[in-house]
Amino acid sequence: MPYTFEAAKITAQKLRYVRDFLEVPIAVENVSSYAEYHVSEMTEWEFLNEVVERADCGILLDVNNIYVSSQNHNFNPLTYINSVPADRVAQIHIAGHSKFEKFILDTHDHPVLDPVWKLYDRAIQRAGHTATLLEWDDRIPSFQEVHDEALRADRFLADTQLKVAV
Amino acid sequence: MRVVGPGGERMRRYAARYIKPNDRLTSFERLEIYNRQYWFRVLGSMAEDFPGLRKILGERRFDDMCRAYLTECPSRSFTLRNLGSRLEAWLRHNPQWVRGKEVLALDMVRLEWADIEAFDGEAEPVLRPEELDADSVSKLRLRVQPYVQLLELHYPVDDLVLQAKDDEGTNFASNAVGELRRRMKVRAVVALKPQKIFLVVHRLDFSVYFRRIEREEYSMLKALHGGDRSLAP
Repeated sequence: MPYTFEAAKITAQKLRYVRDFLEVPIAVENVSSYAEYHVSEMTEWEFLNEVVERADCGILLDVNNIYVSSQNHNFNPLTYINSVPADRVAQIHIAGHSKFEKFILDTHDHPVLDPVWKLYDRAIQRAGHTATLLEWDDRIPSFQEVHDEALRADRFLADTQLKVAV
Repeated sequence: MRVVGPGGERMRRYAARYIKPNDRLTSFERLEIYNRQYWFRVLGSMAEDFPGLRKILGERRFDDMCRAYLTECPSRSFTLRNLGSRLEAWLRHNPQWVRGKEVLALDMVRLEWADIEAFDGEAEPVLRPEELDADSVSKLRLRVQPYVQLLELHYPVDDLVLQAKDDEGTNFASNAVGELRRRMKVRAVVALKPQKIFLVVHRLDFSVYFRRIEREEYSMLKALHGGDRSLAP
């Protein structure tokens, strides 16, 4: 959707409605995107911030989606990571993606690439220990391979513990 | 994607009105990414919901059939669950897609749709023993749960669909389909002979079950399902 103040207001209204109806905390996920609109009034991260503040809800931070969008729209993904309110990050998603000639696609069918792990590292530094989900739902290898990939996240958590200790 | 957008405007110009191009893609090309992902998603959903029909028609014909079906009967529901709701009626109206296997294919579609309906169809509250008393017994009416599906079929398609689901599960985990497995699939369809069966499709604890029953049992359940009061005491 276009990132306008009107869209943020309506989105937040719907989130509050869902939260009140379900009576559970809600976290919204940033999606991967492949198009930008002429009428947008702000960046995606500004839009996300506007929505979650108005709705008073959490963020499901998908760092692979941030990377995919950053490559498709030519922005620095670290700017996005550094801009989200860290105290609202309830869960983090990591995943693989596919590269095509002129764009990349969030396909969840490859291992997590190094640039995405770097973003995950920064997200963990800001948000602290946060529940993390590896999304791999196509061309799935053996369980051992997927499990090993998921456990790679632990090395960033260990680094965070060391930094906290210092 | 359609060449012409709403109002008869060329789609490329229509896309450019709303979507920014970037240094690599035009507005139309950026919109096309979503269009292609939409079709991949709905075709994937149809393949998941109708693995038996896919086995009968073969992958290529099944995909072509789905494109034709979804072009005429596009999704109008908030959920992909309802994507195949008009498939049986559409195939009856467009038999060329199942020519030579009409009865078998329609049996399979009916069974696979019944599977979906039984999984999350409406359920009425079940009577508990503590609710029974002398007064209420005389007012009791026996009914079949609305989610229960009753099918009279011309082929034993329940065997084929269970095998198809098993194959899909194996394929999903193994990430490859060998040539031998493909040949086995084709033989399974070819070997299927006509055999009248009566099937109940129901659910228990979030799992769907197929159960073959006798003609008399089918007739009784059908009458109860339809609210036939001639069975009342």
